[in-house]
Amino acid sequence: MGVPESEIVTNPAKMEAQLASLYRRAAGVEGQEALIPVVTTKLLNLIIYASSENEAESASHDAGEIMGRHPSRTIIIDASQHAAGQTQAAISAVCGITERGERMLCGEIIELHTGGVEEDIVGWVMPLLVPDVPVCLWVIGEIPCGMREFEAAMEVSDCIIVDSRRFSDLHRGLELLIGVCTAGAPVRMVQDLSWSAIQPWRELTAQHFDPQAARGCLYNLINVNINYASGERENSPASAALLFASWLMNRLGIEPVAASFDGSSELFIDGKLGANVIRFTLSSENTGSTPGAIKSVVMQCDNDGGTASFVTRSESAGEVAVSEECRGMCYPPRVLEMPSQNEPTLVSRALEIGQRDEVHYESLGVALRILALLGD
Amino acid sequence: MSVDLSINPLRKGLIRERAAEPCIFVIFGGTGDLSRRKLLPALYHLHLSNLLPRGFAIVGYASSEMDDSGYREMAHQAISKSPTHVPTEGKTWDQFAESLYYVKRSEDTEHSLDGLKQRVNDLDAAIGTEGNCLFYLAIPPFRFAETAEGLGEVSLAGNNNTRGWRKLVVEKPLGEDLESAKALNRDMQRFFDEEQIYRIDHYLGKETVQNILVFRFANEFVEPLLNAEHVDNIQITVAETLGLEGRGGYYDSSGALRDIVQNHMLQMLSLICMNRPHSLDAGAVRDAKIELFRSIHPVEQSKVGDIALRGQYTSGSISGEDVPAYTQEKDVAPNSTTETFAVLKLFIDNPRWKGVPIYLRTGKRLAKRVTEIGITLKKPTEMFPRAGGSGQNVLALNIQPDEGISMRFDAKVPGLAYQVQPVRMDFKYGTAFATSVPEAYERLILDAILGDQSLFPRADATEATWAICDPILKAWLANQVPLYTYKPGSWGPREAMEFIERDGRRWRRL
Repeated sequence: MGVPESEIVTNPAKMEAQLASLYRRAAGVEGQEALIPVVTTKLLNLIIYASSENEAESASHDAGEIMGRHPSRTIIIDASQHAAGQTQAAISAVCGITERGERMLCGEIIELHTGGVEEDIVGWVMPLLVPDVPVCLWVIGEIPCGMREFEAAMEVSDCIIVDSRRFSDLHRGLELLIGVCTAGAPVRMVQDLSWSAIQPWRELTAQHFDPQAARGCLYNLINVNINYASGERENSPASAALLFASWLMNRLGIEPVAASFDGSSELFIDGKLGANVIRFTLSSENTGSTPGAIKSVVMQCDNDGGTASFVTRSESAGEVAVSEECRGMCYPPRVLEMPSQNEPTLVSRALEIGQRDEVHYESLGVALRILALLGD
Repeated sequence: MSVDLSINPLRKGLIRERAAEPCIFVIFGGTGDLSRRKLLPALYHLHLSNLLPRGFAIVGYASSEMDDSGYREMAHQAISKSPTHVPTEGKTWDQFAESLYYVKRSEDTEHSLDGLKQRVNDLDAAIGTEGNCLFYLAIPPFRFAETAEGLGEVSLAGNNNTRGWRKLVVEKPLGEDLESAKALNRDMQRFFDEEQIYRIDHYLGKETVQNILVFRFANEFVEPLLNAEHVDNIQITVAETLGLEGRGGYYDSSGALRDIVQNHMLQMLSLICMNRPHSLDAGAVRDAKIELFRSIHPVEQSKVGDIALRGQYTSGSISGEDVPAYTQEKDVAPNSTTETFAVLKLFIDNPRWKGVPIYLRTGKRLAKRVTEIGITLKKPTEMFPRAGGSGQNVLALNIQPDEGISMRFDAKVPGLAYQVQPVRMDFKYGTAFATSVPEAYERLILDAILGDQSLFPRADATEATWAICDPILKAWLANQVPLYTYKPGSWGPREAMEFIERDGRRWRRL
């Protein structure tokens, strides 16, 4: 999707008229010969809340890509203090040719620069929401609880997207997140991009145990090693690795009983399943990949007196290798395409989930218990 | 600690809570047109989407002289040529290619399937497919029964004496009339239980056809309108601009009624008219369909002329290109009376649809390629002067090519007077959802592997639809009614217009 036209607007009442004018220009009907029919489709309102200039800039870039999969009206709230003076908006029509090439499909991005004037935001955003389609609020950085404009935006939202990988204090951030999850309107959904990022890892891990013959191993686990790229934050494990371990514990009924963090690269968690104690090791290494990205998961279990291993390992940015070492129930190793993990893709994936993800909520609960053990 | 190993606990909350089980996918006719154009590309797409099980093998079975590597090369060429343009190089392709095997059909009719059985058993042991095997019959229908029997004889059929599951997938035409359809069902059921048989109607794999149920039952404003109180008539159209495309031999022994009406059109009719199933499970949906089919007013052979009409195209031109008459097409008998155009008027004998005519219209070499279900509502009492249109609301479900739903309703013409004019409101799949629509075969193949029969017609449904068409077929075969002609690029014979105009209605202009 490209951004053919944009305009600055200082009066919210004129916004719709100026958007209409943009579309006419995109269609080439204002003084130009007509190109192809322009269709505006808005399946949702996406509000992006950026509290810094950098976040607002990256949001603006990502919004166009997201619109390619989710035609929407996107409103970017730049709540940073950098732009002084009155609130103003930049509007853009983002258009792309449909698959068959017979229409130009357009959505729109409205960037609101508030200059820190909080009270303006509600007055701008609410009238701009397209009626009768869902409102999703994507908070790029920390959850700005207590900020009036954020809470106003949250009030009208059906779903909230956050990214726990960006939380400076993971424990505090996840606590806030579970608060957002459980408070407010019962239909509100919360999506965490970190959780979206581990979805392919969950799927591939589950695939090891699709054959019934392999399933017994899940209940005879000895240890699980999760390796991830360093650099997400210094004083606690990466969010994705922690969520993955929490998910596995939740699905298998493993109760975390002890946890220790060496302060830099390794987190050890002991979990109990019946009489068995299973050791989870979350370790980081400097790989040059996206900070916090999972690089490998190795699960070992007792297999009729021997040890079986189930390995899922990132080979490169786009490929993941799956292999097993065991007796009598293993398939040959294979390499699979790893779905893109960039932010617009993760947001798109989160937008496709239409209901509360109970497994996510339960896993969050386990993650908080692990973090609490670390604090003890 | 006791644990339930029958389910994979890690699947809860994932996009697919059920995964396909390891299996061997045997394609009879593995080198044929259907395999090359549809089945192998669909299987490769499923592989790319990581939807196939880890333990998986595809065995092509055909008469061509070829080995595994030759079959892999053939598949590579076929998939490379498919219109979806997926990459067919690199590790992902190599892994898919490694799962392809080939068995040449034996000339020894006594033991023709022994080689296949041996290969299936070897692969089962080597790959760990747990005895699961699916047989896809991409072969001429007259060989379905003997193939099912052959599989039974080498113990590759029923569930009783084997490990794992066995499934049989067949595709239309499933019989050529009621009697032969019953015989085919009987023959297949001698070796496979009904739960093991998957009858493919690829229309049911289309997103837009599946959306009929969603549109009806997920939207409160739709269902209350769909009954005799509000609906004046329903028109289902399957129009093609193409001719026979090299299928003259098949088509001349089939015709529009058998090729399109008996299966695709009646299936669409059932989806739009059936009562709400109590759930979405295969049994409930199929029960609701069969109830509908059995409610369709029976046609008497002697009165076929009142409710059906047939036509055949002459020579002419479409889009400036000269096209031959049907009887001049390759592999068509010069004196053939096979219909290339058919219209039917059906009624449903239940209180919900009492008196509402359902018109079916299909043909080749028509003006436009379009598949549509048009529901015309009754005319309200006129209150306002009309600037145009009939004053009847129309709800149109566009199945292909412009997939979507449109609604025609009246609006006030801007001005000082109350004058109304029809306007149209459109929903288009292509512009509302930016994601691409999966191919029908991908969905149907995956469902068959998963064991979900919702989208596959049951034996009683195929027999019920043949029972609806049988009297018409007999009357047409006996030439009891005229065969009208029409020019390519038209909407069929002039008599087809008169057919509906006698009821005070018109065909929808598509």
